Amino acid sequence: MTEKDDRKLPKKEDLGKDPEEPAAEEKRIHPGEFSAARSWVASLVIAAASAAAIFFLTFDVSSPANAGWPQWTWAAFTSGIAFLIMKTGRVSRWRAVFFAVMAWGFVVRFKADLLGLKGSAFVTDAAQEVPYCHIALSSSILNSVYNQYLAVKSGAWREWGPLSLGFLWLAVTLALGQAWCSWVCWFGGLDDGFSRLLGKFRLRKLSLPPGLRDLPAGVLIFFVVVSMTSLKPEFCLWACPLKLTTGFLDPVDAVRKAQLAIFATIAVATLLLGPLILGKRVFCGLVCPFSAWQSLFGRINPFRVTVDAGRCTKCRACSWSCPTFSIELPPPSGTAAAALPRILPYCNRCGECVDVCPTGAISYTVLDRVPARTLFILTALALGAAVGGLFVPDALRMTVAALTGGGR
Amino acid sequence: MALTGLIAEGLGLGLSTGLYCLGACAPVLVPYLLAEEPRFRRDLMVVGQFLLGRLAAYLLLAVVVGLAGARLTAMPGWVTGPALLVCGLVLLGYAFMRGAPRLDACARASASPAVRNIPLLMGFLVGINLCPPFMAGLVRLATIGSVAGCVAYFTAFFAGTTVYVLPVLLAAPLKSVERLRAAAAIACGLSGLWFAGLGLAKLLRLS
Ligand code: SF4
Ligand code: SF4
Repeated sequence: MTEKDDRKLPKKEDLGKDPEEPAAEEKRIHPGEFSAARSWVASLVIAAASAAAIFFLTFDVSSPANAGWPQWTWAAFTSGIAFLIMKTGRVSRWRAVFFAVMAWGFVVRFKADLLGLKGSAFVTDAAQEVPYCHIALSSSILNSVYNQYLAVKSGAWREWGPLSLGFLWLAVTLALGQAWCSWVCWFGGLDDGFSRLLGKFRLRKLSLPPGLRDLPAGVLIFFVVVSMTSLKPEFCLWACPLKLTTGFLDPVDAVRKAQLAIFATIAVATLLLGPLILGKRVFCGLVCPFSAWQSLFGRINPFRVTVDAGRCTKCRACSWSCPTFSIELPPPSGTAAAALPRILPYCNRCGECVDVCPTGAISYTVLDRVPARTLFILTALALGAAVGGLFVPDALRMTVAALTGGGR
Repeated sequence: MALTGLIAEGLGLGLSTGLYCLGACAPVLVPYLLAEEPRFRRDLMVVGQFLLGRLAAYLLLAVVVGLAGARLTAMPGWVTGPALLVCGLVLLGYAFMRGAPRLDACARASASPAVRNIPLLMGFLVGINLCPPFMAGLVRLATIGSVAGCVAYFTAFFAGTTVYVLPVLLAAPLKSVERLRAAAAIACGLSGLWFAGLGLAKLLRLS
């Protein structure tokens, strides 16, 4: 164990207070957090370490054009996020800012590309039936495997496409597991962002009817089978609301119009209204097939969110706060251990429960044993920034050019 | 034509077009299979019942076409819409029953033999769907002109296509994955919606 497990419990009188605004926050040093991490110097050192990691992961030193001011701004921004997480001890709050900026960057970059190349927000290119992303990869995995077979046979595997996306997915999954959905996914920032907009005015303390939490897994099974049998990525065509942020097929006939009506309805309900009113990530938690996919394959990564039975007072704050409904509370009867909150495999390591728990009972660990808070945050931020480095600097450049009238 | 010749021809048609059958059967059968108890005998029962349902549909049509023979001028295309719609509704009902086990009616229904035999009904409904290979088989049947010949031809066609349906059993070991059965019951509901939508579209002649 390299990190010091320095635990300081809050005063007893702080325990009954609203756990989302903990008064004794500065005293909740988490397992795996350096006790000195909240100091300016230690926070700056960790921010510098993350800047170095981002530099090595994203900067192409052989090409000066790829190391201009947008890249430097992005690196400075993400190391600033690392500093704020360390200094304030709040993981999810600052992660959400980082995540929302990633989503913004992706939308700007993709839409600008579409408008610049095709002059239309619709995808009409026959060569690419629908935009392809990791969500499509999971919900039509059998099709992808078949396409890879064709690509390898024809030698076309070197081109950017599902195979490269598959490698990106595998690398990030090995390094981060389920955390992809809260630190890397360039769409997740949308519903995460909307779920925070109304702050205290949103509904809280919402419990899900039993069985509903498995909806994304049901969506995944159904679309994998249907996509394979129709040889089309049916989730993308019929259900994925994220196409609205990128590009979708021209609604030229009745079927396309029906598809547009269905995924636009899903968008309004699960990306906008649901998150705004409930304060939850409704799309990620209840629809996205990739979240179910990642809950299965993410287990190959050792990072976990763990509840310490000795510290938990069963106040339920973690369960109410989880934006993806991933903490199950067994009925209060039974043994003390049985009544502990249970982190479901769907947890995507957002850190909200870690921040909210008034006794510091929840922490990032390796395999539920070794405290690993700092290690996890640095890894997640560096990888998220590396993926964001593929499009956020371009989005910055485009935005500044548009604002100053410089064009693309 | 000799019976053996008809059998060989039916088998050939089934083997060459069976992937279509997997396409038609998998969205119904895979979620249902995954939602059921994790016991190999039950899995075999489910697939067996489903195949039996399909065979019953094929034989029924073989007898009807055999009797009508060349007098059959129009294929019963109108069957597809209602069959898909009923299949979708059955799947939806099953998903609802699995999703609300605490409701009295659902608990009673799930213990009833009718519900245990749902795969038989679903196999039948999927079987009478007019997919392209099935249509090709029907056209050929109309020219055979004898009930025995038609039955032999379609039984062989069934055997050929079954080779492609059996691999769905490979999905069964997945049931050990935590919560997968609950998720599969939800997938059954989505399949139900999908098929009901397809059936409605056919009935309303939208596709
Ligand atoms: S782990 Fe959850 S229930 Fe236990 S004390 Fe922390 S917030 Fe409360
Ligand atoms: S269990 Fe905790 S870390 Fe996991 S998704 Fe829920 S709030 Fe985030």
